[in-house]
Amino acid sequence: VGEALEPHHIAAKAPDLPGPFAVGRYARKLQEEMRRRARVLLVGEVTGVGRSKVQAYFELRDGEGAVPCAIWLDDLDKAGLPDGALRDGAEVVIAGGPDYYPGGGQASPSFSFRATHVRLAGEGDLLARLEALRKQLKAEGLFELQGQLRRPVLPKAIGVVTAEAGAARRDLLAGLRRRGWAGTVVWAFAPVQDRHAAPAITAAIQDLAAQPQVEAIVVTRGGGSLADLWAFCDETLCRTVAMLRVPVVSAVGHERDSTLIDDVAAAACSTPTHAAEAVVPLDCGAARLGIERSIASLSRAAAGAVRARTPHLVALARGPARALRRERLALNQKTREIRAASERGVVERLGFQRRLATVVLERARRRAEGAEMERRRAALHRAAVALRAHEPERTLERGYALVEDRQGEPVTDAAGAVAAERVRLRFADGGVGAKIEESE
Amino acid sequence: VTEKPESYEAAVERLEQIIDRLDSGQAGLRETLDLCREGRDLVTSASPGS
Repeated sequence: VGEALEPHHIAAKAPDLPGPFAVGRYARKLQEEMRRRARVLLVGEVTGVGRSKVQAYFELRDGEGAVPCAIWLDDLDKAGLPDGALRDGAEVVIAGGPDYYPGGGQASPSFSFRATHVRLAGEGDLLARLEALRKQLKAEGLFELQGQLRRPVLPKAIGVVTAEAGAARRDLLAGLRRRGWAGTVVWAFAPVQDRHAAPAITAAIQDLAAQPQVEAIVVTRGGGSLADLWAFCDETLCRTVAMLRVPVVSAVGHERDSTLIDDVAAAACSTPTHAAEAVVPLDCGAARLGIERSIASLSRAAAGAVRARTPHLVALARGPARALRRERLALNQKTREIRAASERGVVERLGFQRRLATVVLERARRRAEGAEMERRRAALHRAAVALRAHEPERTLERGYALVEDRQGEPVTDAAGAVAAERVRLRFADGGVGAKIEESE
Repeated sequence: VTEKPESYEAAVERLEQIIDRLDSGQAGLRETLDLCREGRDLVTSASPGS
């Protein structure tokens, strides 16, 4: 710009810069330079819409910055936007380039992006921005962090970020009731659609995460266009969610809506009702019914088990008495056997002693008998000796003879001999016959 | 024939009587023969094992 202007020679001149230039001409040259710059498309959120007689003006901004914009009313009419479409919060795409109004004697100079065309931002525009941010966050690993958190099966308290008057609040509560959940809900209401929504939602989530009793957070709102849900694609918001140590369940829009918070959250649900099921995984009502059924089943099983085992237990209970009786009988039998054996032992000992006594006595008797026999034998021997001393046959040994008649009777006198006529003379060594011839 | 004595004691008593009679020297030959024969029979019958 400076090279295109002709310098005026004045006393005070900066030593290393061209000029000084006349500001009005400089302003016009600046305007020309601006208008020569390339025309581009910008996308952003409309804020601060105003109108004059000839143009509409507004700011187009996103989370990183803003540009003041202006469009001639003729151009705006040619755009064919619905009535009221150019409003605060609208996501639009504008075509144009930078412009500079040099001002005048009374008018102030200003810079603006002169839009010649305007249209509401389409899905494609937002999706392109969304995909770029999604790739960036994913590359940074922010999609994984929330998924690594442990989600409680039955949280005692959950935080909810939603619009105070939205249907999502009602649907979420209904869903929690259907789960039979009886915990505490800590509400954090925030706008869910406009350029103020993302910072407010971010702050609400941070506030809830700071509550020690909050075990999980639900971020929810109803359905809408991607532009309506654009706050939930805010980079700061999504980074905040990703870094939280409390699991976040997102339920933004409907099934066809995919916001960036869904990617960084621990769980993404299509509706507030589904969010209720995700944040309280345990269906308390069903669990209660299940427990009641289990209790009933267990009671039946226990009763059945008791019934089934009762006979056996009764038998077992009788077992000790039966065993005691059996053992008592066995003991009595053993006692009898021992007693009988003892008696048999006594009898056997008595018999043995008796037999022993008999043997001893018999031996004594035999010894006595032997002595008696010997005595008797001696007495008889003495008698025999005495008899033998008187036997007439001993006389025959001394030479005498015995006269006997024919009948063997001794003849002791002469008359008898004569009468016998024939006699027998018996000597010690034998006998001879003799005839009596005469008497003397 | 001399009858068998009823017991040893009876036989011995009879033998003592026989010996006393023979020792008396009053028995004749016939009686002596009879007494000796009776005495032998008593000794035999009264002996153990007879």
